[in-house]
Amino acid sequence: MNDLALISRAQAGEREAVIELLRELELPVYRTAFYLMKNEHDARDASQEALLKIYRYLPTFKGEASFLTWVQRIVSNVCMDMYRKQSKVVPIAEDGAQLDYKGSKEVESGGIAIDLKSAINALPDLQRQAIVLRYIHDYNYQMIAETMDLPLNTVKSHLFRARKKLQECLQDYQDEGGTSWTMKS
Amino acid sequence: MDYEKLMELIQKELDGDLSVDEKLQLEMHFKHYPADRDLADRFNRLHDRLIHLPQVSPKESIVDSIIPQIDEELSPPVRRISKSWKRISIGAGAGIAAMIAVFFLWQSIPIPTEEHAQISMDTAFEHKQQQELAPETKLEGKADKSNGTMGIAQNDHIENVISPTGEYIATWEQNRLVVNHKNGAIQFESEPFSENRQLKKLEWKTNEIVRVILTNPNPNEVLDPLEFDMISGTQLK
Repeated sequence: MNDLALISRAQAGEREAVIELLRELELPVYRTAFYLMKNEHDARDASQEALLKIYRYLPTFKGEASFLTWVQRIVSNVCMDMYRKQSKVVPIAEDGAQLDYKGSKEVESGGIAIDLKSAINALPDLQRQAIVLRYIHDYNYQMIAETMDLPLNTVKSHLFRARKKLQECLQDYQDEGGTSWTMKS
Repeated sequence: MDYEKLMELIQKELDGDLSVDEKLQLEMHFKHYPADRDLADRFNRLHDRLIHLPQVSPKESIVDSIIPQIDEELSPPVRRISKSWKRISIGAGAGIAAMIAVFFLWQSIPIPTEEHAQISMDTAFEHKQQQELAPETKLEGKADKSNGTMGIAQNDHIENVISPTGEYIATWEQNRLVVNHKNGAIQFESEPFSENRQLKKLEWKTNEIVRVILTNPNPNEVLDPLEFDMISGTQLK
């Protein structure tokens, strides 16, 4: 999404440009929200909120970052704010000691993708965000760092820790024949 | 190679971030410790599953659902006229009509000097009364750019008020001050104010300090301005 002319027209308040721009952003915004939020309904709410904020904050976009990075920063922040307000799930603790997962240590699996999404949801905020940007949007370290406004090494650290935790979860899934997803305690 | 270093290299390999030296280092390690290759394989499987997470799409257009709101915000705000403003307008109108009537009366009827002076004084008094009412109307719907700050004061419709450098956006939602960073994160959220307080004016004193002016139920009684610091997240006064 590098259509600077479209962005400029939208910044000037041209209705058609605003709508066209938001339509182009809808999918990447929704995908981020889907994997950062707990369910589809929350993802939709977060996407609506994020798209409205993108529209309202368009005049503040000065082109310091890439437009998509700026957009992802907004949707990530909206999701994090909403998630914190709504979430009653205790995230996986940094030291891996507290692993309360939807009130149960074992969740029956309907499919590994669904369980992987649930496991992603249980990660701490920054790790979850790093994983979503890396795998849903195929961002490299630099783009993730720009989006999250963090140093490159901090981003690597979040990504590595997230994968380590997910790997531990996946290991248990595989060890138990792929029928259940166990969170280590 | 210790465990931490091994984990780092395995993960860097997933992201294609290994240098030639690190790649050799890792291969040498696997030759000596074949069991660690299994660990790397497990991370590869996780990586593969993450790459293949479903690329979901919304069932219905989200943009369509927000178009009415965008249209409302794109169109110039239609200001509802409050009851107090109506009363002021009617009063001011009546005052002006009275002044005109007095003026014509004064023009057409010969008036003794003393009486003439008295009427002139009355007219001046009425005019002064109107001037005293004027500040209420002056504040409505005007951007205040004095002292390098920006502000929009409208009783019924508060738009986003952007800080001078564009870093923050202040708005008034559900009788509370909400300030968002330009990246969308909530920077500051005040406690809701009492329902009998109405927003008179919202403006940026500096790039970090936002000033809120509230009124009592009597719109002419303006309370002392409140100031909130976005950096410390505290109320200054």
